[in-house]
Amino acid sequence: MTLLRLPARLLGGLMLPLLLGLTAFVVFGPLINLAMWAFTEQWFFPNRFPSQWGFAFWERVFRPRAGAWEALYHSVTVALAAVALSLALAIPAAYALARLALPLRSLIMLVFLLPQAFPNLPIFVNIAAMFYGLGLNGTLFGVVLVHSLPGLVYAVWIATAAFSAVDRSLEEAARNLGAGPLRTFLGVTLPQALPGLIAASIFVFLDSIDEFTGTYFVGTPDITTLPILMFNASMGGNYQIAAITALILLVPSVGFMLIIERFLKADVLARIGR
Amino acid sequence: MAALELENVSIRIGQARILNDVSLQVPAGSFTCLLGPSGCGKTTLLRSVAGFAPLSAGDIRIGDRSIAGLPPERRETAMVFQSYALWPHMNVGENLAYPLKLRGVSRGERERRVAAMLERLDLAHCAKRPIGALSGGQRQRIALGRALIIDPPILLLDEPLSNLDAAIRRTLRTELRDLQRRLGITTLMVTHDQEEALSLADRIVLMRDGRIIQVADPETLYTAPADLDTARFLGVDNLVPEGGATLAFRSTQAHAGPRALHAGLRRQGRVIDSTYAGGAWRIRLAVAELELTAMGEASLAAGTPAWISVPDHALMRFDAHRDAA
Repeated sequence: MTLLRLPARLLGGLMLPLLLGLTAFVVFGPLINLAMWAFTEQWFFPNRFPSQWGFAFWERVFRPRAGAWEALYHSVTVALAAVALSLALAIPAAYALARLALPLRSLIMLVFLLPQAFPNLPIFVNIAAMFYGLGLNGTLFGVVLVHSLPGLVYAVWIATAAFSAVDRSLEEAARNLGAGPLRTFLGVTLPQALPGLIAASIFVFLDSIDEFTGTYFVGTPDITTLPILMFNASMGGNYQIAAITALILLVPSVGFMLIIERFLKADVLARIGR
Repeated sequence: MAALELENVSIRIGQARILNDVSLQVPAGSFTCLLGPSGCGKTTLLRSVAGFAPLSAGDIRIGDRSIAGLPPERRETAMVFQSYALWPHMNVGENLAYPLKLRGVSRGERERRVAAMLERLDLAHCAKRPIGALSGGQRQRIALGRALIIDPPILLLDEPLSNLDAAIRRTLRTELRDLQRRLGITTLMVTHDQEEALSLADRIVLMRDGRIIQVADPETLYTAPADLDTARFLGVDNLVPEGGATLAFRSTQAHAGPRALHAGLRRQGRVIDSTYAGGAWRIRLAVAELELTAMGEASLAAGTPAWISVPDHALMRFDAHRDAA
């Protein structure tokens, strides 16, 4: 019996590492290639690895006139502003939605998702046309608005879930013991929903840092963010510069998550799923 | 004088009538229980006093001040919720201090009163603990303390003991009663547990289908229920039609045995079965077309003839005839 089971168990034992390895390759393969490009000085076609390594392109990227610093600054500013704007709009909307009767809530949330269902290129083209009339093209504010559009959808969905999970009797207890509606919201509801709101802001931030299409139509050539810089570099055949930009793009994302993690204790983050 | 008064209170939600023309006076310092089956409107009645269930008609007064139009935070009624509703992002001390903070009590005074309350609840060592670290009984006591810390004129309790296991429930029941007596605070409590209502309350308000059926002290309610449905809700499990009326009694007050006793009601029948009920036997008898239950000192074999005897004081007579089924 045990002898017969052995091959099956061996196979089962091998399956997991094999699957893990495959997943790791799919996830990290392109990243390794990208990391190699970032430190390449010469890499011609048939070679599997670069023929010359070095930091020459890093210096080029960070030269004051190259625009990498400005792009980084734009990316981070726009992302933070998009987080602020999306949450400022999403918090009251989500609270109202969370307190609505269920069938109506589902319907409104679905309608809210609709713009995301369209291919976003025509949407951004139309937004660009509208913004042109309003004089918002090429302004940071215009780019923030464009980034807040998908951000708002994430924020409303996640925040609605967060507010719905807040036990109604916690609010009633506060009202009963003397807190007005606003005081109750700030003192009880908001702290209870905080993990969800933090999750929403992480989503909005990461989405904004990555955003390309909207920025391309509304921002360029006046506003250059890191993805735009990367696109320009790739189109010009500067794979090194594109790769380095991509690595820089990691910095604000990881930084934002680290800050959030610092501010929140693990037990608060663990409640996001609940 | 009535500390709390409800006058012709009606609450309708859509077509449903949750409360129907309810009038009630709660005497100052009394412990009043709202008792009834689930869905009878007792919780809605309590929530309407706290301001969480808007009235369709009627008025609610504390003393001579109408509170029906006030938002919950201005009613000064302190409520203990069934789920306790302690705020999980605050520790025990912060939970107790929050109502004081809302009233603008200074920090030093807050700390003093929280410490005094924790002392009174015998939970002084728990001040810094998170809510999640407390047992059910401790949560219940903290919820009670949080309500009492503002010295409210009215204390509202929504099934405060129903989430606890039997042993803790008994202890807390005694504690709750002692505390209420000592503070002399007017208390209105919702419960579906008749034993709880009978042992805690000075007055029981029995409700059914959004109406008040009977208001009485526990003993009167238990021995003289207003109607047959109330009697059945209070554990009256034997009904004997007699003429146009129905005689009703509890099996615990009836005797079953081979001989009849000197009693107000005597019937002969055959034993269906006997089950041991701790200290005595519960014996089911087929009496004509009826099935009656009574207690006996000894087990009786199925099929043997036996007598059921009910003393006069245990018999209740209801005029409207209804089937036992």
